[in-house]
Amino acid sequence: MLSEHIAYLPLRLSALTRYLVESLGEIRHDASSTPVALILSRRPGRRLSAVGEQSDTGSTVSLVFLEVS
Amino acid sequence: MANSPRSRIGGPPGLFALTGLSNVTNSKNPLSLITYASDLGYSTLLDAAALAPSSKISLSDTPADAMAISFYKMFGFPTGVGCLVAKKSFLRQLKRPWFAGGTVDVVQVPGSGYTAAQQVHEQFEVLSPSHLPEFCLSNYPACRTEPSILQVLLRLQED
Repeated sequence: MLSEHIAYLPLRLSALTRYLVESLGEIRHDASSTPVALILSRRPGRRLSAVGEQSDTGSTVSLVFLEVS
Repeated sequence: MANSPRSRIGGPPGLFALTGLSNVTNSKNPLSLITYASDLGYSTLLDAAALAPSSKISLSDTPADAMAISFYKMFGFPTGVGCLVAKKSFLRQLKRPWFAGGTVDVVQVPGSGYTAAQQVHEQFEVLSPSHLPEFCLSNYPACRTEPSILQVLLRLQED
């Protein structure tokens, strides 16, 4: 089962990771309009477009949630 | 290392271990470093625990002496089952300063002599293997359609 999906995983995971990172970056505190999250991990670079391509990063996102400054 | 490559060829043994994918930084390290280190005379280990579940790895393109894999990062269950894929030539370089059950065929008592297990990989398989994770693996639904997992493990033991 895993071997059937492994060609699809980089495309799907990198798209989800990119969406998560971009969405987190857009979230702002109401009071100060400052960012809510600081992404620490490397973000996906090259955008994949086909099954079988390999992503340049993994799909774990390390971040710090920031208080209102 | 790239700025001042120092060859270990002819010198004391050295091990170069590379994390294929870091779950801390989310970075994939260039696997070409394995070949680079090998050319400098290092034995090489690829930690593919996080890399293998979502990436294709070719040991022909990345000829590491050994590669570590964690199965629970592929299936999420059970913990504690993984494998070390290693070249026999690499294992033969390693010297164990002790022995324990399963790694020897004969022990002299009283005395200090012993005969290491005939199969080189058995010399590093300390204690009896836990069969519970293997049972779970073979009965886990995601693995039922992937019979090659256990077959690969058994094949590795045979090879």
